Amino acid sequence: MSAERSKVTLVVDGVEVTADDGAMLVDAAKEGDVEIPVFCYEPKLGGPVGACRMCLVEIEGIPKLQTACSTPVRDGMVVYTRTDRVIESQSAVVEFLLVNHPLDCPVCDKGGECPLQDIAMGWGPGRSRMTEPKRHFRKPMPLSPLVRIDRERCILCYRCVRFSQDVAEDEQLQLLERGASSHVGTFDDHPYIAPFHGNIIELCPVGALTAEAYRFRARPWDIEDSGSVCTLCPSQCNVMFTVRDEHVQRVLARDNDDVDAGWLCDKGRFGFQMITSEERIVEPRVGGSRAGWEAALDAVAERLRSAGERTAAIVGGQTSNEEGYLIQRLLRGALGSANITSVDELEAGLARRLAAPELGAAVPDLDAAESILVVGTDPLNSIPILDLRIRRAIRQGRARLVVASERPTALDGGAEETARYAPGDAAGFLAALAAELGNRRQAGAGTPGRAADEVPGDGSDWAEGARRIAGELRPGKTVIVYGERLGRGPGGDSALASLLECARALDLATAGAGVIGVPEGANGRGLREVGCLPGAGPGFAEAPAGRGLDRIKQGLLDGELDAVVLVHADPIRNLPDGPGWAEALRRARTVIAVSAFDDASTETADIVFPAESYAEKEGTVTHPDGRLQRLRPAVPHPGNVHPIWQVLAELGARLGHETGIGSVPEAVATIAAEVPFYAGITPEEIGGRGVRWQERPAASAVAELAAVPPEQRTSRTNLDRDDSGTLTADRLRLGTYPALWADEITDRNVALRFLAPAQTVELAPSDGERLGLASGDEVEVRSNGTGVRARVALNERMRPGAVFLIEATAAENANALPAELNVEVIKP
Amino acid sequence: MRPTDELTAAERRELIASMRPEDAEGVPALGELDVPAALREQIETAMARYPQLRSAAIPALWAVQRHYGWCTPQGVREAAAVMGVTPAYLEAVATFYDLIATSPIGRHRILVCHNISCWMNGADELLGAFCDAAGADRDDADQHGASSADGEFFVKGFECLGACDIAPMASIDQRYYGPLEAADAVAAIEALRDGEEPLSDKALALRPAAGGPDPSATERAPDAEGHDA
Ligand code: SF4
Ligand code: SF4
Ligand code: FES
Ligand code: FES
Repeated sequence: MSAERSKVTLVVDGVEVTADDGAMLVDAAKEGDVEIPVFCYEPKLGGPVGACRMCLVEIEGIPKLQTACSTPVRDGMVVYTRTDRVIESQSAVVEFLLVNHPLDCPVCDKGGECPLQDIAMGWGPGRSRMTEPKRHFRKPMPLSPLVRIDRERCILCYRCVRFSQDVAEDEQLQLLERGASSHVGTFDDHPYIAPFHGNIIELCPVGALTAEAYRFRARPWDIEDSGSVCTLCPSQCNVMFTVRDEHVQRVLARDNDDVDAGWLCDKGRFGFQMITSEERIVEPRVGGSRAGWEAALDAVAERLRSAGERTAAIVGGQTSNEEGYLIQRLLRGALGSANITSVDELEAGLARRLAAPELGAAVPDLDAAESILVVGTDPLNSIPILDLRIRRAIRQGRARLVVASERPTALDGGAEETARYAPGDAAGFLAALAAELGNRRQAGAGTPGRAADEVPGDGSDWAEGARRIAGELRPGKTVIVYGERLGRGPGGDSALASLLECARALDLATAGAGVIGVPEGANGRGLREVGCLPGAGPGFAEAPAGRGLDRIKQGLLDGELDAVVLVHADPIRNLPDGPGWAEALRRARTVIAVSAFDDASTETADIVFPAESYAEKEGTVTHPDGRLQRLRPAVPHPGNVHPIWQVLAELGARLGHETGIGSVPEAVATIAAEVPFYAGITPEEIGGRGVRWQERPAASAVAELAAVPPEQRTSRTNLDRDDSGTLTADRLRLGTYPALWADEITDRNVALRFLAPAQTVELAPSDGERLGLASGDEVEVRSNGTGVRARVALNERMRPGAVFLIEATAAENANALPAELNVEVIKP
Repeated sequence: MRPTDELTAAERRELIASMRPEDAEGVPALGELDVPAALREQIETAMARYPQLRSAAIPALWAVQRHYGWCTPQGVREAAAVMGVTPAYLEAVATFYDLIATSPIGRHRILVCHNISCWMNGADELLGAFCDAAGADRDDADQHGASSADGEFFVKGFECLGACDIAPMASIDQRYYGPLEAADAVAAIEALRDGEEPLSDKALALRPAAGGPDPSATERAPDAEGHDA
């Protein structure tokens, strides 16, 4: 991505080395196979700090030893890393670090994979002259429910504290006291609980920070590493499973700067216990009782045969491309049904245009963008790793951030401007923004255009917000991160059309700029691209129109549909109008579910197939920025779990639709043959780092994707809100949002359960005052006779008139409310 | 909190269950706290004085200490809310400095220098005299500082306070006094108990050379290099 750096040549220990200009000596030396020991140096954390002095080397012409971690290379530099002076200083530093270190390696989790051990062995003096007593701390102490701290082992390298300050920016973890009393801690011994805090375990170069879940579980020589991709959210971070005895014991980051910059969120890091959960469904079930595969497949085939085109399928975000492709083929090919959709359904034409290769930004484009617009999503909740990425871009001073959303986001604090529109008003706001940007563009070109306040509707404050936001956006140098949920609801299509207009007005079809859509499901993008979209087949090919989510629900209720297949999808919990879905599934003649756990939706199922966990799966997924990534199985399937692609292929065969797919590579090849912009792609090409399809030659074959009807104006028609949308003093408008920890993953992992949020209703303080509500009050949020109980949280950054509830909580789920904009908040 | 290795499995589970996400200390919401107006104003004034907001950390903590007598967790949280930083950040600053107290200390703070110049001139006896007069533990005073049981005094042996010329010296409620003798310690404590100005004749700030109230004193201008002549 970055421009080619010029090269310099230097000599390290007599070996000539060529390195990037500006690289740090310690990295350059590696090119000559010279290892310089480091403790505090960790480029992921930002610039070098030169704190530990482990990396001192001798450089010709400089009298004092220099820190290799913070000395950039120069042409002609002559460096020595093993002179007497260097060796003396290295062993002095090691001896110093060990002055207070307990050397309890035999009972330390880090033993065997500990940089301190390695460096002490490789560069230390072997003996200590210290006879004084060492520092003592009470240990180990829980730093959080997931991490324990042993302060005696800490070598005060600051990495964990730097992470908290400079990467996660939560600043809960600090170095307290001074000198010999220095120690890592939190304010007043409060727990350190933050969404990314697990990263400090991996950063710690000693055994001071250990994972509750991994303590005493394995030694490095007991384990195998297995690289794959986390599919617990759309970030699709690259992970390394630590496997012992065919069980995943730990998840580590597998640094991929193009995807995750080397970090994981706590869900990805600690969300592996569910793989071995006792509650997992590990056998097919027919009519509630266990069944063999043959019987289950026969039963499903028979029911689907009779339902035929009156079948629908809903595909959840954890589904791989191969599974998604096969299920759409099962429906379209074997059953003649067009009713296939994923939870990330978009109107087919819009989906096609939003996927245009030149419009798509890559994750690293965020690093170099001059402005970033986050609209209709809170990355922390929906794509956590991008929250860190955007923070980094702002911190490095390159990007200006603007946020436009209905609900306050975690990124607001770093934003130059924020605009807050009312729930359901995204379309109006985006239309105003598009008009404003178009206007600016034309003004730049000398033709006056329409002003934002000429946009129909009562959106005077949209215009004001749009002006502030537009003022920060740099044409051709902006990345827009938008929530695909903007496409939901009556104004959804218009909202996304306006978004496209914004992108056009900003010239985002240029290198380094573009849009990244944040789906709800981990593989939302891939599923659409392989054809899990009503009205568009693999590669967005024209396909007979089919039912989307709402019409599937309606069809089941009306009896127009007979059967529904839920692939990793739990609509009762996760989709709006849960009660409506519950009723629809109850009425359906046949419900077939592929699921790893029992949930409200599988309860209604006639036949349940056990789902694979992501650590068992083989296949590919597509990152929101178009990067195809490979899932590789790390552990065998438990019980009688079979690969889902195989199950789907087999089902097709039983229904007389032979796919000829007998392996995952064959499935990939079939997809590559049908999706023009994946043409020729193979698992080998995807490899361990993934490949963005937009950067492959095949992408040019789909120029027509981008062919947007010129100046197709946003349709304003569905901007007119029905009167239920008017804000009045006693009516509040309800918005719902997916909170990071409100999902099944949290519930299924014992270690994470404490994070599951209780239902909370957020209000602006002025509304709270008017209604006589204070933070912490127990209330009921009512709409149309249905209510959800919640605790009040007043939030100064909320827009007056709006209230927010959390979607998909285990109890008091906001999705249980009817899809209604207006609610009342009542104190019982 | 006890080390987890000393706990039974059940106790450990209980401890872990007691750590709630809402207990994590992020930036406190200003609206949720009742920050005393005077304290808030002092902190905001300090914040306005620096281009970097964080430079106001020390003045803010100082204001908390003045207000509550020491940097109470509640006070630190209030300052953090006003500044928009985490209390942990302020605690890291507070615990770094000896002059910022993160546990309760006596009302009057007496720092007796025991570094080399003062020590050679009898600092140990002086510190002892202050401790005895105030009723503070000598050993503790020499280490981390000790407060008197009545909560009136905090006595601490301190490193060089930069006033070696008046060795042995002490700082009493932020004012320097010296050279002192054991008898001065007793007098100072008595004066403080009576709510009077202690040892005015030995206060550095009241000396003519320090710009004290001597009518004949003329102000000395710094020379070109900025040193005092
Ligand atoms: S706990 Fe680990 S990472 Fe943190 S300062 Fe100590 S040694 Fe470094
Ligand atoms: S951010 Fe998403 S993909 Fe990354 S580790 Fe967390 S859950 Fe997994
Ligand atoms: S690695 Fe260079 S100073 Fe720490
Ligand atoms: S040694 Fe006491 S003031 Fe310097």
